[in-house]
Amino acid sequence: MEAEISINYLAISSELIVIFTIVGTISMDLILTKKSKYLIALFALMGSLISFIPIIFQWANYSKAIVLFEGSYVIDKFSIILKGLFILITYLTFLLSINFVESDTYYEGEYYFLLLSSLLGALVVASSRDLLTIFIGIELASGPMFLLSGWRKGDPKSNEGAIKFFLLGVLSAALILYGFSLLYGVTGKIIFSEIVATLSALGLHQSPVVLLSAILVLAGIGFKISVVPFHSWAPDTYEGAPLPITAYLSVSSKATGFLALIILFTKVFYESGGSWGIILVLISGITMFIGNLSALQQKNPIRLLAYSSIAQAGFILAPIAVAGITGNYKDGVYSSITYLIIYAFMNLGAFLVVNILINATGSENIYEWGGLAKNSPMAGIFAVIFFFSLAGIPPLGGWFAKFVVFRSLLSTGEIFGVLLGVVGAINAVIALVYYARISKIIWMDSSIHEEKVVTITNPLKVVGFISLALTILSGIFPGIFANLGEASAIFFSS
Amino acid sequence: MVTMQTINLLAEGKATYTDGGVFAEFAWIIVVLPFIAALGITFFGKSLPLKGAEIALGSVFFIFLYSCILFYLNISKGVASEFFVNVGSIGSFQIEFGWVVDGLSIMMYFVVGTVSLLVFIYAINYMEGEIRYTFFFTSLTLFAGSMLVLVSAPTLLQLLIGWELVGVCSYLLIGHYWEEKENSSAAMKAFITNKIADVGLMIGIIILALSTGTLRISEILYQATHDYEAITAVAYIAGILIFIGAMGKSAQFPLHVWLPDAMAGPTPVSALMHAATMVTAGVYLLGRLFPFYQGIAHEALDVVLIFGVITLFSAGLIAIVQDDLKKVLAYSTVSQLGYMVTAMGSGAYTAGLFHLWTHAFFKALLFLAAGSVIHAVHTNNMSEMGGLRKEMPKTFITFIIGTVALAGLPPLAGFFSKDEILASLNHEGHNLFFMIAVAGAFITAFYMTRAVLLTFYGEYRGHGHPHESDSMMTNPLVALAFLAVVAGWVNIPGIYTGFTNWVTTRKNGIIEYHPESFDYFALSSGLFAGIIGIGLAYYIYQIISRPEDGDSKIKFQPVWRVLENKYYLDDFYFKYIIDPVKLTLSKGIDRFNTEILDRVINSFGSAASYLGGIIYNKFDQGGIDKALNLTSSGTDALGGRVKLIQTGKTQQYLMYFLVGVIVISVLVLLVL
Repeated sequence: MEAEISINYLAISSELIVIFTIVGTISMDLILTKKSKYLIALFALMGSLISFIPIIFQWANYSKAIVLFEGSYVIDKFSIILKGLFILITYLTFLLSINFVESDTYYEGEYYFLLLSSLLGALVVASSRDLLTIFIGIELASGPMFLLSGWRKGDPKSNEGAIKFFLLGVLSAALILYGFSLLYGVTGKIIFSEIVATLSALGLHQSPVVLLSAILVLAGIGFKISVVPFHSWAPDTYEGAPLPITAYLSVSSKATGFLALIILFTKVFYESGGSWGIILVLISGITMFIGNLSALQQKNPIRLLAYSSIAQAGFILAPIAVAGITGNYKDGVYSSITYLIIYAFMNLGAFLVVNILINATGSENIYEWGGLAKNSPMAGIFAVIFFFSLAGIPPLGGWFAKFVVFRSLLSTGEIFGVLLGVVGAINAVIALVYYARISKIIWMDSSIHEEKVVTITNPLKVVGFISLALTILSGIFPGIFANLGEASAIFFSS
Repeated sequence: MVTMQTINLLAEGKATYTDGGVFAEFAWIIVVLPFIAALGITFFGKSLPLKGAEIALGSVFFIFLYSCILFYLNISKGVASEFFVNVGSIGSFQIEFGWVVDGLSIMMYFVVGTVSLLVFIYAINYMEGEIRYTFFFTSLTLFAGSMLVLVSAPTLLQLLIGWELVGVCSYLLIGHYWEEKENSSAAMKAFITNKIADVGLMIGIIILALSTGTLRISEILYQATHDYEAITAVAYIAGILIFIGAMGKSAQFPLHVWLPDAMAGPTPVSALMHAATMVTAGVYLLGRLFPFYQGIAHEALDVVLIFGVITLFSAGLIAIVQDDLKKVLAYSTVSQLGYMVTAMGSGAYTAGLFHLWTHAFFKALLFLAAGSVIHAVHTNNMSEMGGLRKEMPKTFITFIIGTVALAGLPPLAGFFSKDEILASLNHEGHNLFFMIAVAGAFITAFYMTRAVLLTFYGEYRGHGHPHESDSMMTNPLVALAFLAVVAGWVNIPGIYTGFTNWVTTRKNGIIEYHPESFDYFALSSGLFAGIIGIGLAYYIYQIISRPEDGDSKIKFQPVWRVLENKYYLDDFYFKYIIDPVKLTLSKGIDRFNTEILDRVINSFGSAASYLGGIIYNKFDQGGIDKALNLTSSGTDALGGRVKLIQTGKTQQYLMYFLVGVIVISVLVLLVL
């Protein structure tokens, strides 16, 4: 193999722009006076937007995967798509945050600095192909979230949530690291392809050591994607964190976790898929049930969305789980990623709605939101579109995503696939109950807050319309996801 | 990315058919138009003189005209072609939308167009001054549009989209008076019952698509009729799952519970829903996939037959005891849908669609006439009506025509279509089902006569002075009454069987029984049952008692009670399915989360602390231990409280987490 001497800076220009923006925000925080701190927000917004430009060029001029750092870092179509997703989500989170951050007395510079750092971690995960890089990526993505989730320092709930998140996060990091160390101990390699080659040479793919390593990694990442039984932190942390951060946690952090899971389990542990596949099937099914049935009970919209996003994680996990058993990783990954991308925007939209309505009413009880659509039809329409999309009603994007996942589950002909399909189907109906209920309350129940003015600031409108457009377009023109199939094929050939 | 493809489906049909020419090519307009109209109503409706109703009316009028043209083309030359627009792919599947123009879909376009037009005209007057007038027309237009998306679908994917859109629109319309909690609950019930069925349909469709490698209905039917192995292997299960979908929309037992509650919506909605859109979707789907069912999924077809028969009989019985006029009609719809499904199940494709066709007109008529009565007397309850034949002559006469058509007396529409179903049951040798269907005819005649007598005869028992409705409302009644009379004449065995040709422009290998002449045994049984039904109802409600007495003189009170409670099916659902999920399972999981797991973890924790205590006492200094004990007892009260809020929990979560890891490890390493 020819050693790469010069670094292809163009290939990692998105990451470099994000790093530059990170440094910029923290320096600006030092220099600027209190009055002109809003410039930091502007700078961060611009930075994240500019970092999207290389993504477009890389996508348009794509010819073959670029391999950097002796195989540790790969830029292929798959990673380009996900990087684009992460940048877009972060951009939308900034927009969600602007009014929130300005409205209190905390330090603006830090807020943007931390979010951008998390973004950098996510970008690194997308391209990483060795144990160290992926670990750094995962932890860089989640580290800042510990701080951000405790951002409302005066609020005991926020502190409580953050502490729980942090302590469990540390445990999860330790487990991942322990799993990695087992792999390294057995093979002495850190690059995935070399680890697999060594394991094959030694015939150790089914050995207890490798399986234990897979389980430890699974537990560690199971925490990030909040699947049962590693989900307990999510409702508390979601409730305590500032809403934009909660949205980011449930979308971007979850996506990062899934990405790490996909990379590790389809690039390293794929030979032992028969063993972990069944575990994932179990976890996926149980997660759907516990998430949805708990969500049925919730009055607090944030806890409701927390449990709903736990259930959705179970659903996203299902194709990967079945792929583990059948070995058809390409199709499983394609379905999960498609779901993940569509889910990201509709869930962001759902949090936007919750954000708007909590700010307007000051009430964190959905049963007190009766008739709010009268005060603001736009919020009402957002609510219907995003919640119905989450429930999988056509022609919205969530429906197409569900269709793709069901197709993947049933296409295997594997009994576990069919079983998970049935579990998913039952859960689709359970979920519809609470998604439709919240829309019904907002539109149909008698109003308590007739005088309340529901304001939607311009940045929130932008978030709403971008998410709305993507949610609706992905449902009507699902063809745009055809490229993903191609991308996941490339992911497995590189 | 978007490419269009036209397919002429005549390869297997008769050579005399055409591809429909330019009118077929532009048939997409009638599918898209309602959605454009709905946008128009939303944005400009409120500033127009009729508040948006004119846009809605204009669009359905255009649909009506266009469907008339297509209908004419189909009658004169026969049309069969389909058009695809490709918008991408999922995996190996092409994602295509498009429109089908063949006999079956043209018949549906015509029914949807005609009934919608008349209902819209009626609604303009009926809904006047009601809340959310403009929004109502937006939803109603979307409702008709969604049905057209479904009916025009050349791919299962588009069919599924239309299918679910119809459900969403019905949710809006049923819950139109959502200020009353009952109505919004009815809407939720309809939505969720339908969703249960939709999931079945979706899985069925995915199975079909996976086994055939295509989402195009025509290709799936081709494979089904040419005994391709892959589709034959899954035919039974796919057939059942798709039928579950049809059961939801077409309100078959036991998924029919939403339809009677859907009466909460305004009457024009009920008329549209029960006649042309929504409930006919399931029968249409069975018709569209009929070659598949008949070719390779005939075991599934037997299941269809059984559910159809159960539905037609049980729903008819419930209709007898209803006091709410609209509910009588609602259960009657369920029962008639049972007839259609029975026909499909027994292999009588044309008979099922023929009954759909005639039923659409006379049921729309009955609902609109009932609406006219309700509009005048301001109640749904027949116990507060009576004697209205004098005050509302037009409504009375049209209602009578609808009743006679539904009861199946010649020469009105229902007679011919019901007779064809009975004839084919008789021909197929389903003796028991034949008898049940004849009994159903008796029940139908009975409850409709009862409704007429309680509503229009005797003395007026309500308040105020009812008077005949406006001509905007009665004219659609007259038009529908005309159709209810003549609609059956298009398929008279031995004389003129045009309808059979209209709906089978694509043969696709359908083999079915067509009576060459009347089956006089079936005919006389059905007719006899109908006359007995009318006579018995007349005897009970007019001779031995008066309409004022209602059901009070009926002897079989216990039977009545079971029927009035709809066989306790709603109670059953609540008691054994909804409540357990809501109260037990869901709460249980919640408690499982917060209490049991905590307790398990606590016991782990206390075991660990017990162990820790021993180690601590034996190996560490006793001094610090005692000091700690003192402190802990001092803060006991406080600690007890704090524990409940937070501190303990994080450790529990950590334990929980590790227990998870250990359990999984044990599972993987030892068990698997």
